[in-house]
Amino acid sequence: MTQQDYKANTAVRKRRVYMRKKICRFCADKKLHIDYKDAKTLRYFVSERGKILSARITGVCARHQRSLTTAIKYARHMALLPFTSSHVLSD
Amino acid sequence: MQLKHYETLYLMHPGMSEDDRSAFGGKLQDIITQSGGQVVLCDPWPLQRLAYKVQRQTQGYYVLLEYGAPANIIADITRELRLNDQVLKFLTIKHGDKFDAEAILKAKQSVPADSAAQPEAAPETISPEEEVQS
Ligand SMILES: [Zn+2]
Repeated sequence: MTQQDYKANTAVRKRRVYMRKKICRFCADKKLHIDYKDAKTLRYFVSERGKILSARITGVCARHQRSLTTAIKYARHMALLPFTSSHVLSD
Repeated sequence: MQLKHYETLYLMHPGMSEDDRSAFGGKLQDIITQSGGQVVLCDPWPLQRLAYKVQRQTQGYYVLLEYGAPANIIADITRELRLNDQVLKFLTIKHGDKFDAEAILKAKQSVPADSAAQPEAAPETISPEEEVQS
């Protein structure tokens, strides 16, 4: 990689740093509370494979991410959410 | 004895008859009320698909119980749930050390108005995938 390329690369990367500041959905809307029984809402915070998405991706604040992970784990235990997509029931 | 605020969600076998299900629910509620506790909510969900197979079952009946009970009674409820082989899964959560039935029921009444307004707002919430691109 030439020096030029490297510089071009960092320029691109730098631009990506200035992303729109994400706000936590649960802080923004106080009525929205995290409930392990609400699988529909929790699905926004897991990947296609069923893995919990990082707060960096979803923009959830640290405090709500903590309660979100517990909620997702409760939901998995109760078979409301899958542990992994490979166990998901097909129609 | 001091009551604490609990919630129990349990999953029942799809082959169970409605009578059997409500009889078992009544049994649990009796345990709670006989110990001086109080049930504020008993919500049986309709037959629902499971996220994965549980004891080779793909569907089941969830029942949600919300109640105030003395702490020592939780062991009895857990034993009851564990001994019944028609119960596929269960989870008991403590909401708080204080149980105020009136406050809970009051909060419940105000919730339907809120939740009725929410489904409209839900679709416009941004899914994580969309957020990554922006
Ligand atoms: Zn937050």
